[in-house]
Amino acid sequence: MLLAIPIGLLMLLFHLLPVLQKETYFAVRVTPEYRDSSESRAILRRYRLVNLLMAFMSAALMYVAWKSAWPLGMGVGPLLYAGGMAIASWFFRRQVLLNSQPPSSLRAVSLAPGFVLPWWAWILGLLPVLALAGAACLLAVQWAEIPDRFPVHWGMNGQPDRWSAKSVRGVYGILIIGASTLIVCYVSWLAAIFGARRSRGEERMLQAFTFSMLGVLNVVALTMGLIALQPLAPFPEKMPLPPLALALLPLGIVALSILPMWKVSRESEGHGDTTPDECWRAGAYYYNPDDSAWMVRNRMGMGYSPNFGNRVVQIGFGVLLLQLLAVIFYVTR
Amino acid sequence: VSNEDLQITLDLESLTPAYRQIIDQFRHWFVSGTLPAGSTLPSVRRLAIDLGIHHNTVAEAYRILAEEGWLQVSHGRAARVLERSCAPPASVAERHELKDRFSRRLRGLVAEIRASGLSDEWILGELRAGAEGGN
Repeated sequence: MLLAIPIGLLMLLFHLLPVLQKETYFAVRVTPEYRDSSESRAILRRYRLVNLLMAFMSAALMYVAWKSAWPLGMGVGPLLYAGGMAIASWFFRRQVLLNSQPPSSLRAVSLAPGFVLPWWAWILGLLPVLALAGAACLLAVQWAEIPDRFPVHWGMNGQPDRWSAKSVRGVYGILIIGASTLIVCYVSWLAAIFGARRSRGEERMLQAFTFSMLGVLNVVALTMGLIALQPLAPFPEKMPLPPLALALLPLGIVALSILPMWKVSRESEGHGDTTPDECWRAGAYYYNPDDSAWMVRNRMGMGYSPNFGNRVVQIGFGVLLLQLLAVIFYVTR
Repeated sequence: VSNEDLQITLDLESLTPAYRQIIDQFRHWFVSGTLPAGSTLPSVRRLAIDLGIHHNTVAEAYRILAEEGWLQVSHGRAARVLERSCAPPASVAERHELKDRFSRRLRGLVAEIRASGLSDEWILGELRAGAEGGN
């Protein structure tokens, strides 16, 4: 059952990605006539057939890995699937690109301030920091109560399969990983709020994105905080929640929090995307040095994508990557 | 007309450079009083992001408007419209030179509009509205 969750989610994601936005098709700006043509439908059919085959192969690989107790294979399955579908997207997008439509040369922008982050979003945005800081303080105060050895990871049967010794790295490692993840989420969120277009048509997506990011931030902080406090639990070997609940609860909250973004992405009138098709590499990577925006509306899927042509984004992305690598190195060495 | 109802429009395929289009629209609002002294404009970065253009283009437009005395621009802050009197040229020679320059520009523009097929009545109407400070 647990095996089917990541593959099922990936399959649904890849099934919908090319047609999620009303203005684009495989991340290419096309006319509504082309979108409804038999040619475009045939491309979509072939792409979805590849998706089905890749999902089946990936699930089979994961099943074999699980049966033969090969943990690496469990992670390789979804990775191969995602990689294969990225290549498939690139291949089918090239066929759609032949029917690309140039963006309108006209731009109209209101002088009104546009989207302003509401006060409650600032407060909800601070909660994850407080949760992790609170957990760190509690661990410091109760340091003497922490056992010399405690579990930090559980298998799908609910039994601990990885342990850690009582040390600063062992006790605070999970919190450090959580903080590092929060930094990535905060930077993405604030980069969209302050560096994406926020004229009138964009307000709804920025609101939805804020809602989603608040959901993700709080789920990450609560999950990591809960696991970090496990050494102080009366029975540290016992999982903080049943395995299925621990897998499904965060996923459920994240799925609920991205619903508004999904709704805005599906709006029929579109948002007047002015980004040129040629600046979208493989439909997912935006590079335009002549566009001052840090983040632009995603062509594939929902939310925002960084503008890698912008110097601030290049530096910010590099710093984020470095801090992630530093955390991984510190926690795993 | 409030600040919120105003829209900056750009045609990226126009022969007129983008920064010049921005200057022309703002100057029209300043002269007509649509954007009175004390009003604030979006920051350079904000306007560039919303228009999807390079920030240097907007910065150039704001710099020229600031040089003309319409704007106070400071780094990282919203630009503010200044009180500016349109003083007549000091000497007769300066006045002649100015008139010549604008005559040439106006004649060129009228020829371009006529070549586009718009009527003389429409051109006269627009010129009259402009001279009377209409929007």
